[in-house]
Amino acid sequence: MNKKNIWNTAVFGTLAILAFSACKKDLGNYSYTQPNTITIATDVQSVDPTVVFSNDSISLKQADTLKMSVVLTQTKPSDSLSYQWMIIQAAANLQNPPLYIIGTSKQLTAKINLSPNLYRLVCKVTDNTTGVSFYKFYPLNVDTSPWGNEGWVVLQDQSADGGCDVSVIATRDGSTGGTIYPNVYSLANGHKLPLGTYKVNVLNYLATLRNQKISFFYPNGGLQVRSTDFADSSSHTSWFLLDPSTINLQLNGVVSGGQSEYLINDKQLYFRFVNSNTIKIPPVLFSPPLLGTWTLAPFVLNNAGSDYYYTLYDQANKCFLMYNVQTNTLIPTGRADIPNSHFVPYAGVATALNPTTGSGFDLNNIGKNMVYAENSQVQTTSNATHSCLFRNNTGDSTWLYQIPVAVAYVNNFTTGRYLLTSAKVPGINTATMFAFPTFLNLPGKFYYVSDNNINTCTIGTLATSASTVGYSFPAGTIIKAMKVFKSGYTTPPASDSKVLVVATDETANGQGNNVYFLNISSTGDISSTPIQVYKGFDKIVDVAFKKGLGQ
Amino acid sequence: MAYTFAKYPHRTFDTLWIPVSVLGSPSNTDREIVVQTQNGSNINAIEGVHYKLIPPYKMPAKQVTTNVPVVIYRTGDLDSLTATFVLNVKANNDFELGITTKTAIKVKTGYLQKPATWGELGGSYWAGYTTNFGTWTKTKYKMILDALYDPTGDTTITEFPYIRQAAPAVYAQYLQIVKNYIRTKYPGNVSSPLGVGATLLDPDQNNAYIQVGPANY
Repeated sequence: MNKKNIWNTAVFGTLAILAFSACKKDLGNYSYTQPNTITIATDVQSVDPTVVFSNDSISLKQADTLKMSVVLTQTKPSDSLSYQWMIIQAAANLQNPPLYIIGTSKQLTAKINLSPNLYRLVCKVTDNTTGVSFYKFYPLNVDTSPWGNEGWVVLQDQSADGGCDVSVIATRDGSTGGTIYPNVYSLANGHKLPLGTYKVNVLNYLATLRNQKISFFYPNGGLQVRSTDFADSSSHTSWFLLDPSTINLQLNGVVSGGQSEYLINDKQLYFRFVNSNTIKIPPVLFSPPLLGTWTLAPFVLNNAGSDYYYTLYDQANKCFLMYNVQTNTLIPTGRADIPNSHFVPYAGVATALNPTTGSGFDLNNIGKNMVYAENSQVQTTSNATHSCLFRNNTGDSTWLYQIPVAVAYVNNFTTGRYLLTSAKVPGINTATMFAFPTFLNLPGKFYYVSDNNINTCTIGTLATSASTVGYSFPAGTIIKAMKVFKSGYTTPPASDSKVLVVATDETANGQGNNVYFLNISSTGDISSTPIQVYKGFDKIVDVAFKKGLGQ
Repeated sequence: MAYTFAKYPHRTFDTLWIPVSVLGSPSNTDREIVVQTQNGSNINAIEGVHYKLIPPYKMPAKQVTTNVPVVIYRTGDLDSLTATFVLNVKANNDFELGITTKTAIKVKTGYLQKPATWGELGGSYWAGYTTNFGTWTKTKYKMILDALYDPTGDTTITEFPYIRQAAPAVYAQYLQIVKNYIRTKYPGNVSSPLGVGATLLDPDQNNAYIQVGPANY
């Protein structure tokens, strides 16, 4: 019997490899000849000197076409040569691009669709008679494409092509620039955005992070693209710690320069923090939904510096609430999650709540449906005021509430509520598109779409608000989107908040789909002469401004 | 070897695979491995109740390592104790014992034991802190295990950060998952007044309604 030892942990083994070798004196007599040596140089006559510099450095923009050619010097000229052009990493600790062989002939013509970065272009020439290869290396700087910098992102429906796509108008306010770069999404990805894509979101995190998010919403889903070139980055299936049972993406935003990113999906709030610490450990996932007694309207009111304090609106119980997503608690912390009781009882004078003679409001009891909200002051200001539009259930009355958004509320507002009567503000009860500038003294003015007109409403106390036609498009024009230019720059340009950008469908008049840049005067009125009109789009769905990084 | 059913809250039994290795050459035929239980003062697990051997065990032909299965059960008493048993291999016609210290293995199985990093209400540990889970009890812990159960991986979260400050952000998200679980499954625990709808009371805490984030006890 051949017994073996047995035990219950890992076994240790050794492996011996014996190598045998033999030597023999070589008495041969050899004569050696030098093989063909090839020297590679740039054919300066056939390259663009603005792309290929004299010291053989290459600099171009993403999606540019690179044309190169070389001249060869050979010590033993061969007529059997093969060529290979490759793009490799600039440093050993970086990764090679996914597609790094870009040409196999002496002349190179290739579209460089790499993300902005520094690379090396390699020209490899092989003498097939000897099999010896020779190389020339070029530093290759791929710069951001013109549409990767600032500009207006124009989301368009291209149903005939099976989806949607994006054009970028390379301007901030229409005063300069303005080249239109069409179909930049499919240019980067080789396919269209999903059919029915209905919203584009541009999120600017802390400027020093040089980190910007562009996301799109489509029916039952969403996707994120790289902000410099619109290349696909991720989809909603990888955004959440727990995948929501229903995907109905409604809102995605962050205060410009902030870190508390919010997302409202199917009337519930999700959040995540994007900052220098969290981005070191990707993916930065959205939280589970903050469930409570509320059913949220798709708006978040907050300000820089304290952007983790969200003032929210409960559409079901028609009241405000405030949530601190940093501490994950309702504010004030001592109060239970009871609808219409999230804040202390109204502490202002009772007469201020009179529906016709008062202008105050009780955060716990608004009693109306929120239809829109936007900041009316720059959000870098603490307690920046936000304007909220409400309607009653029957949809025949509209109110504007202006709320200095804070991190705590005494709930004693005696001003800020305005009734917008359809007699003085025509079309307000059916309007769905609004825009608020941030530079006017409050209560100020706002803009809303009524048929083919943009009306300017001057906000007045009680029921005295009145509107006039601010800008009129030809009859038959459908206004598809309207936004006040809010740049998000750390130092806003002079035109910040003073340009109204309007997307139209004028196909009924044979005028196509257009984007208007309209000047807003110092008094908040819309200039009758556009700063610029950009034409030639497909059916526009949404527009958003994308600022340049790092500013 | 230690195993806790807390990590797999949907399992009522499981199979441990005990690694066995042979010192020496493999055989061309299967060889029997005899495994037996040890008795001792530090052993409280009962064979057939807390665990079960399922012989015959074999060292397959041409192999020198294998894993032998032992079935363990989530018995009711694992709520309050750790079941310990010791297995050892026994010499037979095929094998003699090898390194003496490597012929036995101690196995501990448990379920609802308080994690060492839980802490106390108001303390410095993350889980026990007032704004998070609060005082550890079996009922509360079992509810948390269920709330954080991941059906894809068939596991849950059983351990939490030692230090409250600068805890990884994902733990705040775990807390939110538990809050949502309570609100969805036991709405009476957070209703106003309490008790409207299904509730989960804690018998270890005078039948208090279990609330977390912040904790009510």
